[in-house]
Amino acid sequence: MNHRSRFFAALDLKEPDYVPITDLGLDSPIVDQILSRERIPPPVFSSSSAHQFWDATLERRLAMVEACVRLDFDAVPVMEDYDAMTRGYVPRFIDRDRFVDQWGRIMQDNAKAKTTYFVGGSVNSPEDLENYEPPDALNPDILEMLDTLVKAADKSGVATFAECHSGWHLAFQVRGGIDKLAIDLYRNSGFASRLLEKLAKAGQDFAKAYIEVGIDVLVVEDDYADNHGPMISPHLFRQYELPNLRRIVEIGKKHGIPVLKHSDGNLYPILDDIVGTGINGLHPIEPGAMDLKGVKESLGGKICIMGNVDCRYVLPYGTEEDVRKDVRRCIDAAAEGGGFVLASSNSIHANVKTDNVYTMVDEARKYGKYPL
Amino acid sequence: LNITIHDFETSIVDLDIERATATCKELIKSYELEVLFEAIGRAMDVVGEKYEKGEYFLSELFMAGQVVKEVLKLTGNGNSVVQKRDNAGIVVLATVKGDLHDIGKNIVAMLLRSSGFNVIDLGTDVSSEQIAVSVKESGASILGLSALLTTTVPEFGEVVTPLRDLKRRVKVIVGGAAVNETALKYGVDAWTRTAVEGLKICKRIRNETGSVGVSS
Repeated sequence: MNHRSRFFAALDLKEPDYVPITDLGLDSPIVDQILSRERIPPPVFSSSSAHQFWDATLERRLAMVEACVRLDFDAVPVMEDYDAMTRGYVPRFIDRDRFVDQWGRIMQDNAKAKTTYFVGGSVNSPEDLENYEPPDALNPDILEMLDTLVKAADKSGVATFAECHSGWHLAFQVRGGIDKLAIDLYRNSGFASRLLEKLAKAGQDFAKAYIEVGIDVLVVEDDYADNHGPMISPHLFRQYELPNLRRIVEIGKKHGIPVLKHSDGNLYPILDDIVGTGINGLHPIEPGAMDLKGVKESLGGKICIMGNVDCRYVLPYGTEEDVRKDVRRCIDAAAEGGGFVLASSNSIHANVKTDNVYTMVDEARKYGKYPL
Repeated sequence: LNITIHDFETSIVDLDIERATATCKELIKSYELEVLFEAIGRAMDVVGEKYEKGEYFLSELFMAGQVVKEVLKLTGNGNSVVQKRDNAGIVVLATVKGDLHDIGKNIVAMLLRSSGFNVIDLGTDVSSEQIAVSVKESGASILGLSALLTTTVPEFGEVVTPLRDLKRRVKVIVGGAAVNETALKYGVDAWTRTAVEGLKICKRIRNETGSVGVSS
């Protein structure tokens, strides 16, 4: 089997030759180490580097594709909507460390943590909402970036996926916090609905754009839960967000494109709702919040399970044996009979040990050979 | 119309901001603030129980906090139910250096304030030096630290070390998405999975220490 057929066999709930491997994303320091190169562009945005963002972003995404291919992944994350921008885009800096990004999120650099955080939003009033315009997925610059990335990945024979949001996650970021949007849902539901609608529409346009440029699989990224449970109550979720997820699944199905759902946290109270939209797979079944084996037993006949090598402790701090053990835990819990893709429990973030990523792949190839 | 303290409590539990403020306006005419504050504390206990049982979620915790905030405006007591500083447990809260996440910390602050704690919220990305100064100057009995990132969890150790001479007085509780039992190795006294659980730990400490909160 080749990479694509291996990945698609798992999505079709069949047994491939090996457990397929992928991840939703690799942070730039990891990519640089894998490619043994100097970091281009800098690890976090800064006011001094506010130029040529389109080119730098394309280069960074191409490098991520290349790193995933070198890691022997079977599917690669080609693009996510956070990175969508036009050629003339420049972040609007508020001060030395904080800027408003193209989605209207206020972001702050944190060099120590090797990342950039969301710290606030730009929609604070009905007027702000009226004037708010998310990025247009069908902008020629964005489509060109997507097209370049898909072509690069396709050459390598891997399956390609791209990540969008269904509404909730970007809405609470643009609004400035989960607390603000949650209170809006109770106190100002019309306002909350209009914000969610704008971002849901943007997410659907991204799904369509990804399909237009030839992506193999869609991934919907919104986090719906923390370790305790869903961030908003199931009745609010069903009213305001579930229809948005369903629409993206319908877009995928209309074009024969599988849709995978990512969400951190404990999804049990809304799990049946999510699966009921018709998604093809779920990632990552977060360790500590959900039980991989239990989810496989209850849903393995309906959806592909992706995950869940621990990226909170094992991949950043674990020894080689810790990583091998955790890979075996995942395969033992969820790979029997197929329908399983190995990935980390969120992403290969900047503080993961690169050697541990190689170990993860190595152990998956050794231990994940079918028949198990 | 005979409005009771129970009506006031249930309006908070039901997240009914209009009913809560209306009942508060009436009750404030005939009750001491202390009685209303105790009712808020009891109502928030029920909200916390509902959260733990899976009947309420983060959205309802936020909304309950909003209800209490609106009610407290009517009492003219700021954002806290604390009346007498020396009767309250003083809690210093901070998200540790290098970490900018504050949603969980803010929920903890809201719950603590609703339960009569005097909360000093230092915000996010707070250095161990700033935290030490605040703990020493405030006479806090509890220090609550938050970290969402795996990489910022070790900062707990940096915070605890300069507080060693205060260990008998100050209990350190940690929480956040990246926190589990391994955080205990940094010398903290307890870790918590949720804000509601954190509130329970703080109440237990307050009961055990006899409402320590005297400035040193």
